[in-house]
Amino acid sequence: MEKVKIKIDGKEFEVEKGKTILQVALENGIKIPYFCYHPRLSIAGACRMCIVYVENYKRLLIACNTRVEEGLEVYTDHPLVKENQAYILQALMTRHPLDCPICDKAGECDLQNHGAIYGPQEQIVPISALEKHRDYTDWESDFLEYYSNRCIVCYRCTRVCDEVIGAKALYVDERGFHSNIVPAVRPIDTSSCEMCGACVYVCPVGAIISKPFKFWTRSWLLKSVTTNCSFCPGGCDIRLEYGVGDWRSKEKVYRVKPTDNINVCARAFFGYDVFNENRLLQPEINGKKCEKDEVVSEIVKILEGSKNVGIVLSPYLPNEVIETVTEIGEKVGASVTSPVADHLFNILDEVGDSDITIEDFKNYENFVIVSKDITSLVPVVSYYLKGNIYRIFGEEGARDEKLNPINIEDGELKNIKGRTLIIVDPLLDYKQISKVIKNVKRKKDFDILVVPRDFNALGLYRILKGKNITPFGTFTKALKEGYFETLIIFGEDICDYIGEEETYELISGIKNLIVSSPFSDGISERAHVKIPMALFGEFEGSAYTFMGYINFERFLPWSFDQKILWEEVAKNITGEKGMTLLEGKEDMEKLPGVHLYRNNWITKRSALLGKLYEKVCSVNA
Amino acid sequence: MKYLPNILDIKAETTLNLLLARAKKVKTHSIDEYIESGGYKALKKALSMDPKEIIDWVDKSQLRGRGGAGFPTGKKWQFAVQNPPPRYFICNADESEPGTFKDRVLIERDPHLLIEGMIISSYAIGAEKAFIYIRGEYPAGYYILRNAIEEAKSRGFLGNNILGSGYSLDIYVARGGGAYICGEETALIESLEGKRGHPRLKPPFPVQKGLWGCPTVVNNVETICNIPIIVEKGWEEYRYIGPSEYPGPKLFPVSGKVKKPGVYELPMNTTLRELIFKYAGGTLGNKKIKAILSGALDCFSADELDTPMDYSPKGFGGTGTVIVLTEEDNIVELCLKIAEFYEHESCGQCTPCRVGCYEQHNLLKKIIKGDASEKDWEAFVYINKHIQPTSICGLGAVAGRLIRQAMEKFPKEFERYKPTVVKY
Repeated sequence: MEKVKIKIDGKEFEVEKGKTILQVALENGIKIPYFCYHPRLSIAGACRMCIVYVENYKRLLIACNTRVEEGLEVYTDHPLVKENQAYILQALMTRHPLDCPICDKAGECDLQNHGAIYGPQEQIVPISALEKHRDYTDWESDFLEYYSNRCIVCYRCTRVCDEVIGAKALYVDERGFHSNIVPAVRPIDTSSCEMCGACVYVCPVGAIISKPFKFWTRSWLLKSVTTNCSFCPGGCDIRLEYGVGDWRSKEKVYRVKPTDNINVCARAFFGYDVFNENRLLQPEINGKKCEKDEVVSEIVKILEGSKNVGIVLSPYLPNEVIETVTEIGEKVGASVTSPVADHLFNILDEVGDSDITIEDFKNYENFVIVSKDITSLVPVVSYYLKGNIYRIFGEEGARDEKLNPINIEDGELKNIKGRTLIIVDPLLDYKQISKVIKNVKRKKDFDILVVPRDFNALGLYRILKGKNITPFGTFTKALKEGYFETLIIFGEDICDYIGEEETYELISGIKNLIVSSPFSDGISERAHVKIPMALFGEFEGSAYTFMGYINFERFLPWSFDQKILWEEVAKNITGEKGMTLLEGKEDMEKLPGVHLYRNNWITKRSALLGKLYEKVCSVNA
Repeated sequence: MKYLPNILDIKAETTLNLLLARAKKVKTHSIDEYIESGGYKALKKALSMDPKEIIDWVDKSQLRGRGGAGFPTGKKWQFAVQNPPPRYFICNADESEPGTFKDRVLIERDPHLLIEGMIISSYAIGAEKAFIYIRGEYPAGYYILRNAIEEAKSRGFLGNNILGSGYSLDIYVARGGGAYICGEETALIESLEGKRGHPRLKPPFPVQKGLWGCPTVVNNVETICNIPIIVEKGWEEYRYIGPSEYPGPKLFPVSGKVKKPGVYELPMNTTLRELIFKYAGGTLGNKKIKAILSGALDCFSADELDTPMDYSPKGFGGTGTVIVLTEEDNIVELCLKIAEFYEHESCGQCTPCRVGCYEQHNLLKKIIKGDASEKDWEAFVYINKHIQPTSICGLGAVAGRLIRQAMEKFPKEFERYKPTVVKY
């Protein structure tokens, strides 16, 4: 990389050519205020707040759009800069309602922060509060709210929606001072909007806010931890914010925000209410809360005393727990399965495991989506599909239409030239997929990526590979015949695949039912021994996601350490029976349908996502 | 064509008989009439020339852009051809400056002059697609140009293999949506691409990355109409028209309180006084001139009547628009109109202009109404001064200019409105 020497405020820097002044300043800790710039978005240059004085040209230039060149001399504290920054802040503040005490953004608002540092602390145009009205278009949403008089028209929201998410749900109406951010279709809940909340996050002021969060707490009362989401294999980096909101509430999760990479979807942004409702936070034996040691000895007693043990593993477990439970299964001679063991494992066996992450997507020119709707399956994958998009088995009206895909037949695959990534949805009919895969395997430039529905399904596959795993179809048949005396179920995956009522019927005859679930109702209501299962932020461990191999941290104060519990069970059990493989080859009865807002058993429990789901479905019906 | 709106019925006079040779008559000249009076000769000559030679001629002719900024056209073309094809050529017919109607007269009365100029220009820069972006409020011009393009196609001046030269060109006509800002070349390009009419950040300039990311030349209607003249006469002869530094004919739309408002084609060494008194017949009722506005850009007082109508720093500059005000006019109320214009036409992209233009208009309204306090007056002056330094495009740069000049040149007028009592 070619290097150039520039001077900022008299200090010399040697930087890469092609960078902007603002990038250099941010990297070196020089403070330049800005509103419309965002590292993930294109340059708008609209707010003009990042002006600097460039000595070489003897004029003011915006730092976000000026590339560095040899000998550039930049001043961020020139009197002209100070004067015009003060003017811009005054201009933004003139008709701003200054309603910080009731604004959700207060405390993390750029206008508030910059106003305090760079602005004059007075109003230049004498305007009364009554004159601060601005034209307003109601978004008619239950989830997003727009305040036009707080808006500083930085175009971050429209840019993030067009460039990152691709939903193109927002546009700017009118012109000049009357510019207004307006959804393309109202109510916005029923439009192409994916409710990812990216516009709420990028808004530098409180113009777009999340209604479920509105008025519940203040931003400075919350503890914010950067972690990864475990609702789907995307594994997006997000920020979980929790704490005590006010004197009425107990400690809970208040919101989820993306990081500056803006990898977020509705499930993380609005689905956080699963953290707060109907949670199972302490182990229970026969309806009585108890300590960890009691449960460990109870499980060991059950497992050692029973003949036929079945274990249903969940792809929502971290690698460590899967390993430990597999070890337990091997010791007691259990039949181990997982609902994904049939369709997903078969395809992965055929295609071969690949460790392509979202970062690698930029190496491909073409993408072929072999799915009904990849956006509903794993939304974050659709944010990174930049290139020629083709689609096989696509459905009309699916969310993928935002990518403007070209519909093709599997025979046309060979006409595609250049580096191509085939994105396969394992929830399709297995015969259909294998036909496509056969066409693809012969070509050199083609790579295949299987996108599972469930969080750590890839980890589950990698750990269980080569072990005696009972197919799920055979397992349920044995379950129906009353083969199992003891059954350990992780999560509620099983309900997704064979139906809720059917599951309850199947497990009703089990003598010892041990359930590990995050929720106190549903399947765990019927269990003799209940053990809490962790959502993200509540477990320590690792998982394979599209963001790569990720280590999760346990930081939520109410979390139960499931890892230690299963490790102690494994330690106390003796035996070397090896896993019992049930013979047979029954097909799965059905595969779950996937919806953007209700993807799996965890997100199905979110009241907010449920509301969204009903709203969208009622419009489409 | 079922419906054809009336064309503008206004006087057009010329001493040079170049741009307005035909357009001085109030009628739309057909292709036959155009060819009869020597039209499309320049095209034949140009097609026999090397494109580089044409650019060279235009550069040597010292033709400057007539859209207001006065950038040398030959230089612009030279920059464009440095970048690889495909290149595009765009005619900027989004003439929306207050009091400006010179392009309208050319388009409506002599469309083939524009089309001939466009073919030669496109040939010179190697563009195979050219666009005319015409203002939405010019319906007649739109239909006339569409018709003229069809006529030219039927005679083989447009389309595939023009006059057997092997060069092909298509011209498309696009209508604007009534936004002044779309006359700014990058906003025009955005609008042509189907996006919101926002000026782009520069660099890159349109000659580097313009329409759909390709090198693009955007020229004004009048500039393009000069091209056939340069090609036909040769650059040496063209240089003899008018003063040597600023050669070529220039159109001056004159309106306001004059006896004979209209478009005047004159060399650029004409002074403002000559234009108003010799050609436009003096002021209505022989009243004293108070001020002359150059569109919504500059304000000249009666002392500056000897300003030459050229692009020198002290010249009249801009589009050449002259709006004459006499002693009975109220400058401050006129400034309110200008402020209203800029408030209405600000696109809302950058903060200083979006808010500045709005507050400037509001405060001036308050001041004229007599409701203002001293603080309002201070704020008005403050905002007026600060719109320019940080705004993105030319609109923000001039949004406060005319009013500021008026305040400097007519302090007494403003003094009357200046609040003296602090009101609470």
